[in-house]
Amino acid sequence: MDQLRFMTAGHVDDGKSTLIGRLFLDHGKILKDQLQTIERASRNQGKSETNLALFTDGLKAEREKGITIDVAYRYFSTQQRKFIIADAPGHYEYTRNMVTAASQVDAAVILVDATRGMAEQTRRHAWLIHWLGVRNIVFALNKMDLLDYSEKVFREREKEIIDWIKPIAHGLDFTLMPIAALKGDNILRPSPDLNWYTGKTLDQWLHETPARSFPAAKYPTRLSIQGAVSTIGDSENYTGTLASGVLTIGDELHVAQDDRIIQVQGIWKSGQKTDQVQAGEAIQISLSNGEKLSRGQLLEEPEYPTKKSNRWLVEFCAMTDDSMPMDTAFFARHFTSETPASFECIDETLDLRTLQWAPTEHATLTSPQIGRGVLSFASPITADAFGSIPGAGRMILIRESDHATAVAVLLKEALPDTIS
Amino acid sequence: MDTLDILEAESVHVLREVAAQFKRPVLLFSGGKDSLVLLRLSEKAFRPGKFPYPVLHIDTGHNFEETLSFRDQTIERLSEQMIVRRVEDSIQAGRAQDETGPYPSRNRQQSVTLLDAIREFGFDAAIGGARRDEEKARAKERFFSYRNAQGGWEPHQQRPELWNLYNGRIHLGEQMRVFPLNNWTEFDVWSYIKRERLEIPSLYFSHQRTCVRRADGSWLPMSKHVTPPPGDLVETRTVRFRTVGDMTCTSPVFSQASSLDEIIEEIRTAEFSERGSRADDQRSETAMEDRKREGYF
Ligand SMILES: Nc1nc2c(ncn2[C@@H]2O[C@H](COP(=O)(O)OP(=O)(O)OP(=O)(O)O)[C@@H](O)[C@H]2O)c(=O)[nH]1
Repeated sequence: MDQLRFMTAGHVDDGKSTLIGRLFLDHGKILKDQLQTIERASRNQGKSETNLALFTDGLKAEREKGITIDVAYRYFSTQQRKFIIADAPGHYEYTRNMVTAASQVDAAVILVDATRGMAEQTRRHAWLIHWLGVRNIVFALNKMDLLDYSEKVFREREKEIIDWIKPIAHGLDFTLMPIAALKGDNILRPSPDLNWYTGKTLDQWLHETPARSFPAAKYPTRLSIQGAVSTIGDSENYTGTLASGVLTIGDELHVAQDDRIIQVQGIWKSGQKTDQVQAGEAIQISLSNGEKLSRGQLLEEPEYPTKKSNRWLVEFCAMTDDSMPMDTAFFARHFTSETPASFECIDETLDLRTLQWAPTEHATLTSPQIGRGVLSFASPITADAFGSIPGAGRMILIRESDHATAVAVLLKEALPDTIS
Repeated sequence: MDTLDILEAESVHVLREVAAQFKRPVLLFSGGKDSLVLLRLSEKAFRPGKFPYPVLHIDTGHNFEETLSFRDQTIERLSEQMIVRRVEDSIQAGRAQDETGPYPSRNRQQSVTLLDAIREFGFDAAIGGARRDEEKARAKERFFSYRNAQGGWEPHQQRPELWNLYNGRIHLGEQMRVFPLNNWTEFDVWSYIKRERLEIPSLYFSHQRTCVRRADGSWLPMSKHVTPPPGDLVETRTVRFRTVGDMTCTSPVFSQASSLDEIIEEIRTAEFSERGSRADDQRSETAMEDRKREGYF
């Protein structure tokens, strides 16, 4: 069976948790004891209607405050598909948790309260989701019941979103639809109150949207070595997850860091010997001629090499509560390697209204700032631009002082090395 | 790649990251189906080599006899190292106290023994078989889940976790809990057990057992640890277990499912969730979150 990983996003209270509760309820996937639990909790909150949002809000603080703090993952399957759902928080201060969710999914449902239209946080979510490489997006205009299911208002909101998204629409597969999550309108079934709407139901969209944003196997081969496993005698196999491309027995690969060519002698996946593997598989390989490898080394297709530099132009999203000065010391984790790094400069920040980059004088990073700058590494990084091979052009920055996962980074371009 | 292939690859990747990023990891083994899957995934990740971590079992003293013999056979077959630490010893040492009453549980006490064992051996990462689909606090877990120096979980302060880039950096005394099965559902686990032909304790299959129905309507297996008050009904029923924890907190489910296929069918059509049969989760609405904050896994 195929599997779709998707998320819900949007501004606080636009109905993300309610929507997921509704999807489960209508699919008959809220189990009896779970329903009893949320009915009991709804009564405790003094609500007459069952508060479907309680289905995903799991932490004590979330139930007390009635908001989502961290991503909740939910699972269900139908005859056609298994779904892994990430219910992301809407709050500004928890944007980092939304980013966490977005990095794991291939599709996104962005909720917009139709009575209000896009909020700043809706724009931030939508932009970040697109930035992180999610290509299949639906804007679900929610709470249509409060607008008497008005087509006129829907069309206004639709135009607002389409105009706004234009600068980044290239390559995005996005669509819009009216829903009322609380009532179940246009979730599993078309709604009689929305008879002017002839598009898909949300459930249809979820079943039909492609399961993968990128065909990772079609990109040049990249394999980052995770570690070694000792085999009979004193020889070693090497482990790793194939990030992109395919790998076949006998392939010659270039070791990006030290300019060797090695040959793949054997491949194993799931404990079985095999001739060929595809991107996404966790494998072991053995090498011809007793060649050795170590963790962090990157194997690449010799015809399509990575770029190597100790300075990269990057785009980033800051994720710590406190603000970080520009000279903050980080460990940059790219695949399985870590390299000390810090910003050389931060040039621009994103204007969420116009989606244009604007010069900035701000020399600090604060969550959830979105910016562009130059990252400088203690030793050269061998990598790809995110735009050429998504899986090989992303990294996290870990703050040296407290080990916080502090910044999400996409590599844009290798810049000329500085002489160190 | 089908669903199971994707899940397996994700879990194997996580296990290999643990091996690479920590000095002294450990795998927590409960004897249940999820930890059996973890052992198989460890084989997938590291054979023909040895596991880069020992296996730790916290023996609560309330385990099913069968779980213990199954545990010993399994570890012997794998020729891996096992460490056992007993809640009984923590109680003797005055580190924990037994509950009183007709149905005492040692669920909470095991966190003490676990944290003591982690300190004793200096483990910096503990791999567990918890899954997000089990319970609402677990639905919030990361793969690498940071624990403060007291072993506690701070759910509102979790580190972001992007793509498959895991941040295993901790300071001395802090630890990581790692959950490679996060994205597996109960259904996936059973499908994998079938695909891999894993042996599992017979407790999971339908059998006759003397059980007791408590005043609140929930059932427990009869055992030497419980002393049902007069009003509680003791009866022999045809049951199986959906989770195998302690005898004092795992409720049987009435079931005729006596083969893997029948179990898989039963789960597909289940009306109740897996942990609905866990007395330890029913104690309050945030029972799991509360225990995790105290160091439970
Ligand atoms: N009238 C109406 N109310 C809705 C609808 N969907 C959600 N709501 C209400 O909007 C409020 C917020 O819904 P939630 O699902 O908690 O919102 P959320 O987006 O998950 O909020 P955060 O997770 O805190 O960001 C609740 O009171 C819902 O009952 C809808 O379709 N119609």
